[in-house]
Amino acid sequence: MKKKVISIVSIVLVCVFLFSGCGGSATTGVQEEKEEVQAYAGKEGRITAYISGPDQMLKDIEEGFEETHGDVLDVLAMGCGPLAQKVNAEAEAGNVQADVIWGAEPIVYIEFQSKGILQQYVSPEAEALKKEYVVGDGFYTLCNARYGVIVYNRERVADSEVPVSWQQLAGENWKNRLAIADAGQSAMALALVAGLVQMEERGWSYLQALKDNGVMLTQQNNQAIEKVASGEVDAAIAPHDGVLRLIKKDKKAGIESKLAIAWPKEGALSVQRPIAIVANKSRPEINNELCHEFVDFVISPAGQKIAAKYGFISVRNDQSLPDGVPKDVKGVSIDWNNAVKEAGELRNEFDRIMTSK
Amino acid sequence: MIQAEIADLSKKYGKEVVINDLNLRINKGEVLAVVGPSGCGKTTLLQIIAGLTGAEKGSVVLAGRTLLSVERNISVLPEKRKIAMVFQNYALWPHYNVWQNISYALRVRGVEKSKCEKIVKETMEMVRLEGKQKRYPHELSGGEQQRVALARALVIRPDLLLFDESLSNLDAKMKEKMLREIKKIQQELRLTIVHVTHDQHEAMGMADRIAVMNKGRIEQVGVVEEVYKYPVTQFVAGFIGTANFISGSSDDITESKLWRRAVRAAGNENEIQEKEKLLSVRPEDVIIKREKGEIIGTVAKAIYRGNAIDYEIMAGKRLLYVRTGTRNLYELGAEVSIDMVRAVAIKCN
Amino acid sequence: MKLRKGKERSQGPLFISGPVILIVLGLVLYPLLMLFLFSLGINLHDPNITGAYYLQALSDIKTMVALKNTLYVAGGVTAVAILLGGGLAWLVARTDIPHKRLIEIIVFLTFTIPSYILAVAWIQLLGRNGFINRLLYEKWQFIAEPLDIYSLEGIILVMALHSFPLVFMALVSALKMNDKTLEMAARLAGASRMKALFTVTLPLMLPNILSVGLLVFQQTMACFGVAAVIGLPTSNYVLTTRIYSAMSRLDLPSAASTSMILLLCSGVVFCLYNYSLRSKRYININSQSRKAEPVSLGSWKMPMFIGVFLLLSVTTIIPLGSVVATSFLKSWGLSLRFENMTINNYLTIFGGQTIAFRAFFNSITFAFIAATVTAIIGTIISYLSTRTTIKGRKYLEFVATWPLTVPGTVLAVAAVLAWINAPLRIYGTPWILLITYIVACLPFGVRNINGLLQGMDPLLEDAARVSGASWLRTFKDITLPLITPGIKAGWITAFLLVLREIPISILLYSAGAETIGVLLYSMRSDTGGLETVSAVAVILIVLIVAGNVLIGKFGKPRKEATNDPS
Repeated sequence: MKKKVISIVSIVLVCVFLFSGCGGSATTGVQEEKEEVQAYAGKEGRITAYISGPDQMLKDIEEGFEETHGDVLDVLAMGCGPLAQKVNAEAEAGNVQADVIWGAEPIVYIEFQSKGILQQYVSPEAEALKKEYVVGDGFYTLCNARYGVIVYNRERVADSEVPVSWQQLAGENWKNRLAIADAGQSAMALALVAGLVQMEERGWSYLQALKDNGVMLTQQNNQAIEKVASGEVDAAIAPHDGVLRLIKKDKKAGIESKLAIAWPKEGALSVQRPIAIVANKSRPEINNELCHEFVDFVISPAGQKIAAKYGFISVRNDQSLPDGVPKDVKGVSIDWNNAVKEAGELRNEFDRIMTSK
Repeated sequence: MIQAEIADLSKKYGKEVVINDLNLRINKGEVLAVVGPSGCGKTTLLQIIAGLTGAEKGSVVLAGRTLLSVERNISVLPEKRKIAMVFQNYALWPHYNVWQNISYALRVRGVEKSKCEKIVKETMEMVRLEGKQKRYPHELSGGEQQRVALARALVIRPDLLLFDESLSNLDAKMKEKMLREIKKIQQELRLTIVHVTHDQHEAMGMADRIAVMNKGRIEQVGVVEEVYKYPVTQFVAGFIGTANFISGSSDDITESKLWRRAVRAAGNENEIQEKEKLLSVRPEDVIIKREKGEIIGTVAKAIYRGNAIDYEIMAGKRLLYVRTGTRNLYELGAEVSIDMVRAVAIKCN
Repeated sequence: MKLRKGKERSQGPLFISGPVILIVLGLVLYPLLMLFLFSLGINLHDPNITGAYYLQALSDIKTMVALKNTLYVAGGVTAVAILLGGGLAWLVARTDIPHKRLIEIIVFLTFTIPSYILAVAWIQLLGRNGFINRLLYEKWQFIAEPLDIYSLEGIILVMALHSFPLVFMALVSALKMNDKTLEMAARLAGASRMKALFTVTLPLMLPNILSVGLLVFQQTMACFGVAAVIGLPTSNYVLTTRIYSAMSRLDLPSAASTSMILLLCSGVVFCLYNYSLRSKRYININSQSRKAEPVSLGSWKMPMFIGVFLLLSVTTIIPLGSVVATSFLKSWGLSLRFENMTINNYLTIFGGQTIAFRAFFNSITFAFIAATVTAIIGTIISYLSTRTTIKGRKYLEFVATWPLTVPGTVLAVAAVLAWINAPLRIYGTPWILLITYIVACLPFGVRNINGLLQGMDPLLEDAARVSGASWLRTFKDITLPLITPGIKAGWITAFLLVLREIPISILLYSAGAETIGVLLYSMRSDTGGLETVSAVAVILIVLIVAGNVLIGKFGKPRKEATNDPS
């Protein structure tokens, strides 16, 4: 008897509990459809930014921005992957908590734009940007570039052997000596693969050639670089900025780095890091203003200089290249809209080629 | 005087009926043995009495207090019943030493320390465990563990003490000794004991009365001798001691001769109705002689017991169990005549 | 051994079942339910149910291959971990092998190494440029082809070495409690030592072995880190890498549906586990427990110990040594020469950055609370499931162990979905981290205790009830002391789990609530390189060991409170 009563009470309580939970999200959903009003998570006069990048760079950025604005910015640091996943999960739940997001790749932002979670803003600083970087109708702004390059181990690659082109990696002598991040696991890797495929006359045959050469996959790009450093592979296709930072760290430790970058003559694959403001109608005007100012700051000369210190290429036409990047570097732009359209096919083909025997 | 009364008790596990409308009275200061084959529900009966499991129907009253009444929605918690129990594997707590095991019941009752010590000391003397209080259960022999379990049950001087197959792990000699000791303590403390066992000898060794249980029912209750001499059902006759069952419905010639002899031995020929048609004859009530007689059989098997000899006699198509003194010996295959001195009419089941 | 039919138990703890059921349903079931809705394509914008994501996942040959790989790896890991952990546990608990404490400490140390660090250490040994390959293949040409760690077997190796301490810890405590007289009885009855082990000890330990085996199986199924580091390089995908792939392409419904497939597999395994224990009850904690009569190894004593020590060198000392060595390297990949060593990695971690201190402080706090809450809830759930007749108690246990099969990333996303909207808004606060940690740890609490409770003779509790102890008193005096080893094992497992947890931390942390996981991730994906990550791991291990020593010193189980006269 007692048992029954208790179990019934528990069940009722649970139902109430669950109902309130589901009910809560359901109401939000309805509201969103009607007026697109969502609760604003932050406080007035304070904005939150999700940023991926080196910790120290984020600190410098925060300090740089707050120098002129006071303590108004909360930075949540995370990797590119987690950044995209976190924002996506929050968006699915109908309530993105960040005001500004900065990092990851354009493919992710195009996806977010189509989900309607980005807010349009064209910065006055945009006039100073290089032409090829002005895209996205203001829903996002490309603010730094990373170059997909070949990183190699100086101790294991003879000077004569140092690759000068992407094409060389397809050659016999690179068998079992290569690594690249898995396009299915990392959006940056997908971007790189999109670039490789889009490059003239490369197509799937290039990936197939890499596979035939026994290319090793990694989950993240930095793991590919680690494998080069440890001598497991001799070269990898990876973004240049992480390599530059590791070389810099070795230099600081007083040793000559094993890592070196080969800049392919066809051009390095230019993958940009966008910044965007998250759409939220209930955000106070003062916070909107702060968001705008933060975006302005990031693409201002001051913000760009900070990023350049950590190896990122500026999108402005009035900035010099970071140390370690050759003056005559040639960047190859990737057609992002096309890449997004073909993302599914890219992943599938990548999978098919890499899992083939 | 009645100490405990169990009325109309029923219990099911799923669809299986374990206790079936059971009634039982336990007198104050007596040892009542509940015997029955495994699975007859005797352990469940103990658990219901102790409050470790519930029932579907019925009531349990102990010393005038209703412990369980399904109808009146009363169920006293086990710890409030003032019942003690000695478990089959003793269930001594492995992390407590002997003293802690025995004093536990007093400690949970918040008995004052000096009083507690006195009782435990007394009880340990009673079960002859002096000097072992620091030992842990695994450091004790089986007999000692049994004593600890007993002492643990005795410290609260329970209204009712339950034994659940508690002696079955001991060897025969040890068992005898324990039975005598328990009986002594019981008489000293005027304890009321329900002793559940599947072993009839164990039951008879200590019990004042015996209750034979089968398929969730009590088939017969009575003093030991009465149950042995006058079993009311075939089950009781067969379970307590050995019995030859003779039926009147057989067409076999030897069988009919046996039946007629047994009816005469039962003494009250007129009272034995056709419908019963079953007589029980104890082996010691069958007499065999070398002289020619009305019923003839051959010796099929002989077992020498020291103080008696058990024979199996082939009579017609059936085996007859016979127990004789050691004076006359019969070799295997010898032809003997069969007579009976006592028979009891029983209910067939 | 005594076999009993499950009998109806006297009821007592019903009053706590309500809140616990609420907690389990609220914290575990509710987020997973949200995930389930997403896997059916139900979301804010589109309330219609569709099975498309399941169809898509199930019709995809890649999912099937991944599923096959997952089961293969999980099965392999479970078998190896049980053999290794069980064998060692038997040696330590039942024989006179020397230096038992040392063996226990080394095994425990293995468990403190985060699995991805272990994987990296093994790559250093068995990778293409690994030490062993250089020695056996290049230098001595001992083997025809270099060993390749990048395979499913490689995952099994590393995961098994990571998981066997779990088996060891669970079985040592159970074996110590086990009724040795039974084993002795079997030997007296003429069974040889080996036969006694296989016919009596092993069957008796079955509930414990199955319980911890299930734990390892489910944990392996949900493991992502090792599978990513060792499986991916040669395109050996398991379900978790598939799930992560869906997550990275922002395809939440596919990630959810694949997770549900994983959950389903785990459910099937759980049912098998329950079925195998259903008809029997093995009692191995009873009055006879703790009889210490170790099997004498005789002249095998030293060879056996040397064998064990060599084995542990491979499983623990070498990887641990490589982690420590790496943490002092100026740069990842340098050879171990004095001029390449530095303490700068340690200085960078704490150098002027308060975040590192805060991360350690936060993680330890979270781990402490989560482990404690987990131990309490886990005990209650195990108790309800093994000692009461409450309807659906097995489901309760099942639901509580679900999170084991859900990869951390997915668990974190489920938490986002569940806790972001009013009125249940705790997202963005440290609470969500704590709650999700508790959810992730709960299975370890339940599993560790359940095995012990299954094997504990309920008569011991009945005896206390009849002796006049209330249900609560019985629990405190009898049940609790006897399952304490399980509670401890569960607590430590949970504590370590939280300390080195990464995916949940990264997705759910908020400003000010940084954890060690966040630190590790940013070190890894940052300029730090593996040498800094190793340094963090070393600090972690040192902290854990120090904590353990402290507990050992001051937390010795006090003598049972008694009023023993002498």
